[in-house]
Amino acid sequence: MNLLFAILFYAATVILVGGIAYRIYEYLGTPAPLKIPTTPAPTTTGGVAFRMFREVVFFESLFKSNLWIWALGWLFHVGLALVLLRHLRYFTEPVNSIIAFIQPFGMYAGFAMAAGLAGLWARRFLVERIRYISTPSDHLMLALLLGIAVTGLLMKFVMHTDIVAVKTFFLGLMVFEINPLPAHPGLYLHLGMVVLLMIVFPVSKLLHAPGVFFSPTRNQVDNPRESRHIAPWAAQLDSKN
Amino acid sequence: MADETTPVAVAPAPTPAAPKPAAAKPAEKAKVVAPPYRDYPTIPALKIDSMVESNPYVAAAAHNEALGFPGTLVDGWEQKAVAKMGELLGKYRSLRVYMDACVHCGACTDKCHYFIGTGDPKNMPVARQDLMRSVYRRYYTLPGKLFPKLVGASDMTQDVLDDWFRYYNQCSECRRCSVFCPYGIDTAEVTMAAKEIMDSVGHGHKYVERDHGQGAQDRQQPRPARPGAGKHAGRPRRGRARRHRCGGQVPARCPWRRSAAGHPSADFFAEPHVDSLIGYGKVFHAAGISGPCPRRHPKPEISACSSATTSR
Repeated sequence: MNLLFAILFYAATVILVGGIAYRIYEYLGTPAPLKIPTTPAPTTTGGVAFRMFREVVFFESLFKSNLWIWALGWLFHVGLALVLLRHLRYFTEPVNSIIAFIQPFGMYAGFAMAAGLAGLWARRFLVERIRYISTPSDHLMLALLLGIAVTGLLMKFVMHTDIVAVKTFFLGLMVFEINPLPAHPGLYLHLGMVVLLMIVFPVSKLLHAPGVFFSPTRNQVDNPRESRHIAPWAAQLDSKN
Repeated sequence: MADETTPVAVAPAPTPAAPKPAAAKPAEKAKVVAPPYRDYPTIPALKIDSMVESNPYVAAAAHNEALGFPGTLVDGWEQKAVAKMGELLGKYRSLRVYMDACVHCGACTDKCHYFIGTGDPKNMPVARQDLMRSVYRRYYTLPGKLFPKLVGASDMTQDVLDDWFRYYNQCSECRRCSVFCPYGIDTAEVTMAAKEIMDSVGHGHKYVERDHGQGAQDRQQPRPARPGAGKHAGRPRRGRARRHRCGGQVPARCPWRRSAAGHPSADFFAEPHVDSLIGYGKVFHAAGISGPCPRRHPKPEISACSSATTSR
């Protein structure tokens, strides 16, 4: 089991990092020939950075479009962020003081995350329009995330595992040593689902995370008059005429 | 305030977005009734396939060919369409990112006026995008190749093409959905790509290809003589030429005459659409031509036009 999880985590990390890097390389390498920022759009680079900050941190557009989805989605994402930060304690020794400080918040963020996920999943059944657009993978993705959250919460509040040994295992992985992992069904489930999530990340809709930074309607400066915007392939067409 | 008995409410809608169906089956004409007037917008219940009979006319071979497209649907169009999609994915970052980024959150579902008016779920922006995204997933992503059912991927088939032709032609590319999408996914980019793909395999829209095709032909042929062509050659007839002063600085002649592209009537008769017309006018004026069809208006006559404009 120790060896299996070690291999899985190495493979999943390579797939996750390599896959996302490849996607970003693809996005960067594809020209954006048209100026299409959704107006009202900022006219300076700083303004675009601020807009992107609002989008990524507060989900501004989603807030404007649907309060239910915003509330549930934001709850989930903020919960997830805190939970991820909290988990950094398994990968660093000594633990950073900020990470130590957020431990109690991260604990309850787990509930927020699970509640947000449950709400988002309920929408997929209860709202006719969302039901229509949902594919099996949409349900499975929510099931996977909810499974991770629930097994995590179970290990925290119901059936504890030896987290010191878990930390030894992960610190070992980082220096290519395989240490024993506690034999705990909840932990196996939790880690297995995390591995699966890491593997599907670069080929699934989870690509919305890097994708939002490359969305031309959000990351472009609204200055088509001030500076000519033209893609290389469009410039070639120009020179032919 | 207005209730459902207000005259506005009971006025039946003359199926605006629904061109006549193919002559073969006139009985199945789509029945679309405008929702009654209401003070606050309500999200319509889904009416599956309510706009499925709204089939635009396919362009004739001559019109497609005038634009350099195949005249009719080519052999092996499925592969060619998929290949064309790959080409566009490499040309437009918007398309590539938008094909990947959607999480089916549903924020856009009630934002499209074509959906609000018809209730057809395929007029929800996400569903409209998914007509292409499902094909993208099938041919350009690993999960779609391995587990098409799981991720809602579909092969490029005649049914898919028919849906593209219906529903991408029911999108006016207004980009309202992109305002509301948390990732700014712009259905107009997807619609434009779909139309480009359909054109490239010989499945264009009649009124798009015909008008542009005629413009292309006009540009290649000498202009036929017209009444009044002697004295006023190359100049708009008096009284029809409209002048517009842009902030009192640049006098610009608006392209009132029939142009190569063909202007929507709203450009002339409606506010604020007339601003678009003024916009073309400024562009043509800045480019030193009086209309969007330069070969009809050789240079010397244009300068005459411009001076005539400014002197009056």
